[in-house]
Amino acid sequence: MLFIGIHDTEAKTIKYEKVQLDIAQNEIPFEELLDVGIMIFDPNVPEKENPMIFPEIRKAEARYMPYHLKKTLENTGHWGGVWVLPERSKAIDLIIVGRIEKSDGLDVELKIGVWDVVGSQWINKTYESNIAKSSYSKRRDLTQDPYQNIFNKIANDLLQIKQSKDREALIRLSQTGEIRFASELIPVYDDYISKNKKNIYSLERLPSEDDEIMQRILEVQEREFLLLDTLNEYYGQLYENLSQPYEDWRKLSREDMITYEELQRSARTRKILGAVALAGALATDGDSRASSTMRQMAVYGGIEAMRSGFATASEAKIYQESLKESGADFDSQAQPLVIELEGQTIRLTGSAEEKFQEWRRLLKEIYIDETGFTIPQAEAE
Amino acid sequence: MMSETKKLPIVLSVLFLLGCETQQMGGGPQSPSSQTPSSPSVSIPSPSPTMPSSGSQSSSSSSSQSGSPQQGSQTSSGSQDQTSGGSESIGSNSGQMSSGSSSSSSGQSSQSSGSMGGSQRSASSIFKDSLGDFDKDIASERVVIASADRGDGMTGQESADAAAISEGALEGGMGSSGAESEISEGQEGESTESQSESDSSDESSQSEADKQKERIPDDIPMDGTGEDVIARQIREAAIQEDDPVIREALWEEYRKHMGIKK
Repeated sequence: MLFIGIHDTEAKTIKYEKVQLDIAQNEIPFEELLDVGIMIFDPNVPEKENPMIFPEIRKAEARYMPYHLKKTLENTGHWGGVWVLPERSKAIDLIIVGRIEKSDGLDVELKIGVWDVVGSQWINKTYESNIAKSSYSKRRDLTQDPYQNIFNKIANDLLQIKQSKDREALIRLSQTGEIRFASELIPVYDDYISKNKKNIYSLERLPSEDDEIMQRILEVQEREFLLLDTLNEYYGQLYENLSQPYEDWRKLSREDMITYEELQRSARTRKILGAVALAGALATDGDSRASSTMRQMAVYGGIEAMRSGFATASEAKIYQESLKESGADFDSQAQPLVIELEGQTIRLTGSAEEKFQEWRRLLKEIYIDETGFTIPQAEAE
Repeated sequence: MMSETKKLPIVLSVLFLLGCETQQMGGGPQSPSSQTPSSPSVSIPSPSPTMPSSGSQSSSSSSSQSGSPQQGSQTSSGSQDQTSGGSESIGSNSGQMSSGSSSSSSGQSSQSSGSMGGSQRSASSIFKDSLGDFDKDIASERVVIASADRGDGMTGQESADAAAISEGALEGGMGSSGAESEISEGQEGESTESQSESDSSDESSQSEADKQKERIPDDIPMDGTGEDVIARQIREAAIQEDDPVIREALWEEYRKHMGIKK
């Protein structure tokens, strides 16, 4: 479905599209459900100060957007567990990374990369979307984010790739993931997988179903998921707290951006036309009274057009200031929430990391005790 | 004949004893660590030798003993000597690996490992305990999150403040009532009466405050000095928690957050 909207006759025509999310019609078998991890996006804050990019808003968006993508993917029913990740995890089948190229309420542009645990790239693409005014309507389905189209596109693309793989391939993918996670804890499982020159892993063999070490490793993996569940509760809190102010900011920013862009375009046109008229008048040659009058009028007209152009430009600057002001307001609102979330994340992941180190050590000890074999030092390290 | 019949019970008992010893060497759950494996059943050094599917620690212990090759038996028995030399050494080991509340559970595991007599038993029980500790930590974390989600986050802070104020008021009130009673000693009993009236009306709130006080461990400051929002939330959740195990887990989380050593 494609909607076309025009918001000014003299302005550019914007195409608004509506992307429908592909939702599973039947229950997907458990073994075909892949787990998905969405890394916190790169906020892409330029080192050189840009008055139109607010660092704290970008940082908040870098956490808000992955969480909304998580919700979107969950709603499809095509995926297993979906989590926002503060750092990479080898326990997860599919990892999504993203960078915010642009987000001002009117236009959104996200660079998305997706890799599976085997090392194959699924997606490397920039997604763009123009946001319609109706996307901010209070009467819309409020579970839908104003940027919903872009999230739906990503989800649909992911699904298309997943559906291109057969059942066995999906199962093998998950199994490879488990072995990669196991080899992370005890390097002896390195022998079960191999890696080619392109850094793509393939499964060589599977551990015995009775392998107690592997069962313990899966218990550790469960704890990793438990930790991610808990961390995602905090991300969920930030999402809920930011939801309304972020939407308000985007709505305001969108209106200001439209006016700002139009004024800028209009000012530029007027300045150019004025300059052309002025140059034409000055170039006109003639001694007659009539031609002199016309020349004077052209000069006057050119100057007026240019003046009007400059006036429009300064009006645009006022809108830019308004944009900055509303941005700064939301910026200061988002900052403490993001800082608090970061504090919680560091605290939780820090203490979990200690536990994982302990489990790694214990598993090696158990392995040596149970098998009587030693783990070579190089592997153990 | 007589001497031979006398010898018979002795021979039988010797045979019985030998039988017992053979059973122990076969990898019984109480086999001493000094015993060497009788015959290795696994010869290929595979990272995942087939384990008995029962999953019980004693059976895996036997498999490690019988399953270790001659080459590895030295290492295996050596490590057993180190760890199964006594539950003390295992206990101290677990103390290094896990900290805080987990040390007590490690102590339990060291006892059980002593009775079972296998080093991997102790390592695996420490592992199990450690997973349990982690689960407890996460559970208490989720209690805090849930209380914040219920909207108790801010009210928790407020009610903690209110509790602190009421405690202060209670203490101050008792002091002032003492002072008042001193002052009113030579006066009419009116003020004492009004005091007792207010006491009776505040009885329920006082008992509530007492209940709250009882739930705060000795090493936790009553007034919540230096607390941040998170600490207040944890305190509030702990005070309101009726389950003593979860409550203690919450206080443990509070200590960790505030850097209080028990």
